[in-house]
Amino acid sequence: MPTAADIAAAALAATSVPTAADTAEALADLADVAGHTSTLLFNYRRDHPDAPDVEQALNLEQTLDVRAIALRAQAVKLLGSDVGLALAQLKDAAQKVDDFLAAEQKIEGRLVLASSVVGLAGAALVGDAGGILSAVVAVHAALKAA
Amino acid sequence: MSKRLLIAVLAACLGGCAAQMQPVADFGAAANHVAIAYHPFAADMGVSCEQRERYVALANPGPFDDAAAERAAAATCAPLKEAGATAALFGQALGDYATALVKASGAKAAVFDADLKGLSGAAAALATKDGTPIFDSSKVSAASKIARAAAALFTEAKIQVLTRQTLADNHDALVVTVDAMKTYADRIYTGQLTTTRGVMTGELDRLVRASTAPTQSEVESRLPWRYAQAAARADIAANELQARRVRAFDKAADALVAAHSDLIANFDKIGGARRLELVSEFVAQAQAISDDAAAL
Repeated sequence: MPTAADIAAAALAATSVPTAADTAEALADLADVAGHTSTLLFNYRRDHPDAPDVEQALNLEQTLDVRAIALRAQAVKLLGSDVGLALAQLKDAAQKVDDFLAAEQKIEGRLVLASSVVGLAGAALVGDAGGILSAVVAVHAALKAA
Repeated sequence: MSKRLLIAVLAACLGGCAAQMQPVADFGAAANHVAIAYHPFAADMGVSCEQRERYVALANPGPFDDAAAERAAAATCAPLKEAGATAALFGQALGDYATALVKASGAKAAVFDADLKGLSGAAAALATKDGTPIFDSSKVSAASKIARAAAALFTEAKIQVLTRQTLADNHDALVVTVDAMKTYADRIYTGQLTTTRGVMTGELDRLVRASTAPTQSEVESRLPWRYAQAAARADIAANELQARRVRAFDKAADALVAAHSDLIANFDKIGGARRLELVSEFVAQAQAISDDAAAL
């Protein structure tokens, strides 16, 4: 039979503010997704050099590379600025993008999604909760449209 | 008590004390070995990033100048080199603490003795980072704490004799420091390795496809793609080995924390040739990192 103290402790644990290590891991997760998306675009360019959208793919790929580097550097620095609930949303969005990329083979969908990942990475680097949540909405919209 | 008897008792006590500290010496040497194994992870993140950039540059249309591609990759990946140097400080703090424990134990480490050097000065390096946004402040405090404890063990004669309290006082800081090292190694550095490997394996597949020579007369023109496969395979193998070393480091890091707890819990129970099980397990895990590294 849990005591009142146990229940209170469990409630506190469930609502605790993410630690700096959580933040670092969330940034590292997003960097992985950005890097993975960039690699898929790179492979697309290499395998379809005559495709009409290779230029767009290259631009997105280079932007994602820079974002992945910045996210990893930021993760090491362990910013420490709590993004609260936005952090859980960010992790969830990163996972959904990764799942989508694993299943989706059409490049059109990947390009749309890659743009939204660029936006999410930018928001995560700024560390502003409002910006992250807006970017998460854009990722969900891109997932739906793709 | 006669003077001769007193000397004999003191000699016995000293011998006993040294024997009692053998697990501490072995723990310290193995912990230092883990810190040494971690060091390349910190330095390699930028290198791995540059490697990926160069593979991409090789495959891009337009003119290609190898030297220019190298410079561009270095510039693009510079933030990761800087981050790696920062991450290295955690390992330095652990290495200093571990080295100081060996010295304070009064015993000679049975393993990894050749690895042991003096202090790296992590305490001073971390002090300059304190109060800046380089690290989360609680982690800087933890790494600084064990680095300062190391400096104290080395320089303050009054605490040359290791006590259970010294270990207990630094345990939480040790756990936080090792946890930060694990986060860096298995979340951030491994992510970079995976990203780089993705590009390299794709390129290797294309090299294999481009190497097809339907007739004998076409073999000559395909040779560059055939030769290039060996270099790409070696790069991928080195990348995979680093990933395995991170996994071995991860296990050793967990064993390190468990062994440190074991030393605290059994500080006054160990004696003579008796070994602590968790310290022995930790030494074995630290050895496993070296075994795989020998293949590099």
